[in-house]
Amino acid sequence: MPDSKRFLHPEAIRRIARLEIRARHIVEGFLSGMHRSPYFGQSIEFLQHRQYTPGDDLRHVDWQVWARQDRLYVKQYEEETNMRCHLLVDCSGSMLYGDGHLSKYEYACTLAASLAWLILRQQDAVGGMTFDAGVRSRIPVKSKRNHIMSIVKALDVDRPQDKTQLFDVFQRAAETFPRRGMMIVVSDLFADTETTLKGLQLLRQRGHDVMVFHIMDDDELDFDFDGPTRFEDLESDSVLNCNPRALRDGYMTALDEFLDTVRHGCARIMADYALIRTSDPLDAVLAHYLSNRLGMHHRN
Amino acid sequence: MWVWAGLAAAMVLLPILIHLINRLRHRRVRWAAMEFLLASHRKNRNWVWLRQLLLLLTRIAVLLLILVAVGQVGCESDNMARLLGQRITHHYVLVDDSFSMSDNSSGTAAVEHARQTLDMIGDRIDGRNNHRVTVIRFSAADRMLQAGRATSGSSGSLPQADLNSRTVDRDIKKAIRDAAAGIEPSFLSTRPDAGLELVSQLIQTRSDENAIVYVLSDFRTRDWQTQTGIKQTLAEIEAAGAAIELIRCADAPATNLAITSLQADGSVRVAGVPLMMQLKIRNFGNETARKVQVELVAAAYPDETTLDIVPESIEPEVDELPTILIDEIPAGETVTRRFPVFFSRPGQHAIRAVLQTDVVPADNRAWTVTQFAPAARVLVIEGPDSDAARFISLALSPGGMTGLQVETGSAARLRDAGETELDQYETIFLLDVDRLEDLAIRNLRRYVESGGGVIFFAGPNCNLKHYTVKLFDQGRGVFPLPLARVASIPEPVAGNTTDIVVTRHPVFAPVLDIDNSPLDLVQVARVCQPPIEWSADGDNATTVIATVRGQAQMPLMVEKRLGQGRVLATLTSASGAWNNWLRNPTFPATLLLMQDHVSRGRASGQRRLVGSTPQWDLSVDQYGPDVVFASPADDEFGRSVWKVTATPRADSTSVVSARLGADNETDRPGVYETWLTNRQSGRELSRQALNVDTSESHLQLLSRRDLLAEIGEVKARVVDWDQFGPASRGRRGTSLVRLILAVLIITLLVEQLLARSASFHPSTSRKHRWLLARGVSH
Repeated sequence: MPDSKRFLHPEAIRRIARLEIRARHIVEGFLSGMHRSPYFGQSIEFLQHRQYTPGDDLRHVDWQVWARQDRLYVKQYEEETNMRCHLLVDCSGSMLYGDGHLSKYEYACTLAASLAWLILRQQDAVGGMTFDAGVRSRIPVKSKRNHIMSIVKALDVDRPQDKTQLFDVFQRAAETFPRRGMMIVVSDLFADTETTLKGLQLLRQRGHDVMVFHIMDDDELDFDFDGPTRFEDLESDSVLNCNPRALRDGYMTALDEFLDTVRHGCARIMADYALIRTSDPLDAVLAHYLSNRLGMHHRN
Repeated sequence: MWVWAGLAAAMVLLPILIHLINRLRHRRVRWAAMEFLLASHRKNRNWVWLRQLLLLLTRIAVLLLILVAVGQVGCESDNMARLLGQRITHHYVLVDDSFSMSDNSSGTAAVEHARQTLDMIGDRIDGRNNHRVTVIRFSAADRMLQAGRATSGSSGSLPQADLNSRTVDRDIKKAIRDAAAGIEPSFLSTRPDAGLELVSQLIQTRSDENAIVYVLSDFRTRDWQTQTGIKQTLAEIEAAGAAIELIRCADAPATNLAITSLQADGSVRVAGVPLMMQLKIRNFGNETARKVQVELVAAAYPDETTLDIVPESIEPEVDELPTILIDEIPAGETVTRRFPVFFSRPGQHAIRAVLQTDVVPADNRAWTVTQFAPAARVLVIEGPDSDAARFISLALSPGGMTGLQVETGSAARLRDAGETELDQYETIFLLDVDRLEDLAIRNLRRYVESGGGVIFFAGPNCNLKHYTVKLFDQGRGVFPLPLARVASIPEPVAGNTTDIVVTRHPVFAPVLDIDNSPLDLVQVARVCQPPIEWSADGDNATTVIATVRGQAQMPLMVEKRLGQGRVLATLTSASGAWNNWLRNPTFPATLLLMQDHVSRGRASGQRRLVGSTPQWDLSVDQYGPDVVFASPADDEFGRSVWKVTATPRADSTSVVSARLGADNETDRPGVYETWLTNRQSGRELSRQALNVDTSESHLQLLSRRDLLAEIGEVKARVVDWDQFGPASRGRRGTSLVRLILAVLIITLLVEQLLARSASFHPSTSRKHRWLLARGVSH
């Protein structure tokens, strides 16, 4: 593992207290690890020449062509549209779970901040909202570099709590961000799956590209518990005393069914879906984003 | 028992407690994906509960099996038992040493089988350090129980035990072997009751010990059949928690002969006069014994009153008598033989009879001691008719040949006699005495009760009312019957001329079963008759031995036993006044037999048995306290002599007591002597013979099934000596432990499968290893 990558591991990231520093560290570490970024500066692309007509901006006249041919041509570029990226970050109580390294919430915030940093570095605009049962905070979509501070501040929730109502949140997001853009959902999706998928479909219907980062802890995916255990629900008062290994098979079956439903639902509405373990290095998530971003160009 | 019950309860409760504690000590996890967990719980709840219940039950079973295995090992392993604080196991071995254990019908004596069994018990307990062993013989237990030492024995002192609470150590086998070697059949006939009673007391006193009781005996029918006392004692031993093992040491018995009786057959025991002896031999076997020989020896002792004779040096003159040969003795039958003995000088002489050797030697010998006086004194109290006295005296001692010394006197002689003066007479005749004074009646009664013999002859001078009121005294007096009147016997009619109708009584032995007996010629003219309503049927002590001719069967001769003595009343006269018997040849013989018969009360011929403990209570005014005892030694007429000092009695200051046999000195058959110191006459000797109890000669064995039936519900193990293995219990215990261990292993495997099924095994997943390595908890 290169040194630059080593510091992207969640265990190392955890030692960085401030989120914006954490995000910058991740993105710069991620970018420095790339020898040649195929994506850097690609936001302004030359398309064709066109004969000058009165009224055209003189800044776009190609003076080199005028010097050779004595004709006035202007350069035409691909439309320079700033991508509008919306980060929807889950702050519900279930996101508080985490064992050993980052909690799901910390991981989600770090991921969101890193994405925001990366997006702003690419001259794109980024905004979003944090939510639990409802919207906790809203971040306006901006492309200024110092907008990262607003995003970090919005992500800094005192304590995640309450249950998630994703459909309402997605509906609210669709209303809040009417312009087409990219909706990046960072959540454990522990809500009613059917309504969640309906919410995602709603976002798609509004023309948004939807990317779902499904954050899960290793414990939730592997359920390697031993010995008598008392499980207390983070979002309710439910309590269960049990021998976890006796229930593991049933748990894994229910979990797999949930994941399959979510995965297939996302595929059906053409939303990108990535199941992220909180133990996964964050650069992989960013790479996944960038590859998806490239894919979106092709898709559009 | 309570300890094990408590442990079992703990073994049952332990898994449940662990389960409950684990429920309280569970790890706490704040969990997000609760929905999936609850779904799994709802789906698997019943199955998980069932598996956990099965697992709990299996673990309880495992602990109980471990407890049982440890308990079983604890029973077998003394080191384990000590670690567990288990109680001491005490082995009580009761060895039958009665003389029937010398039965060697199979070529080996039963006592040898008992010794070998004792050795096997030694092998069985060898190396078991938490065990103790006590070996007691039947005879020793009997003596200790009689001496009241059982209670002191319970505290550890069993003075006559061969091994007393001997702790098992490396020398235990040698100790048991030495004890076994010292066990010989005694001459006693000791029953198992005393031994079992003693062991029962010991077990109940030592309640902190486990007990195993071994009874090594021949289990003869006579000892064990219908013995409710034994059954009850065994039940008490069982109730005290002891295990019982009855080990049969005897083989099938062969024919056994025993001398059941050797005694004088006549009452006149006078030096210089032959005395007939009676010998009885019984065949206790199932086959007829043939050509049986009995060797006889007469041992004449010197006059003990001679000054130079001391107890230590006294030796009898032994005279071998002709051997008696008996052609055959049928099985179960007793054969009686009579033989004469003659001692020329007075004294206490002995006669010994010895049978040929058979399977039980102890009962083949018998001794008897007879006191031969210089003369047998007879007192004749005459009435007004002195002729009768003369006739009687002449008939009793014709020329001094009978050894009887007859004295005559009046009724006043009875009144004036001192306390013991009448005891000098073998027999007292009262011939047609009118009446007796009260003092005379009292003296006469005391004389009879102490063993004297009295013969009444009626006559015309008898005061019938006095006889009835004073002498009969409603059955309490010396006279056998009341008298009502004097009756005349009618003239005989044709075909019925016998006036005296006799019964089968020793007095009439010479005329019994004889046709044309001279007694038939006796004519009785008059007799005294009792009231018509009188009958001897309701009185066991009174017997009519002869009646007078006639339909009324009026009594003529009536016998009464009073105390140790006998009274014979003849209701006709001794003279010719009322009959002509005086002139009949049967009169002298019958008179001598009457005298012989009534005088037997004093020489009752009671058979004294070995093991008895005769006691002499001596007046300090008459006797000195020094007493010398002499008992038979190993050789035929050898003797062991020792001196004791009589001890004062608790209830009297004027009497001291000396007891023979307190320390087992009377356990050997033979002739015993007691020398007392009479302050007036010098030395006083009492010589007596002790013989074995021939009831022990019954060798019939109780079968194993019958023995089990006899002991009833008592759970005892009955085994033959050759089936008693030294390691049988160990093997059985080991096989049981193996079985328990096999079941335990199977149960453990089932527990593992259930635990794996219930997911109680630790996970080897990456996550688990990560947690263990960092000690991370929620």
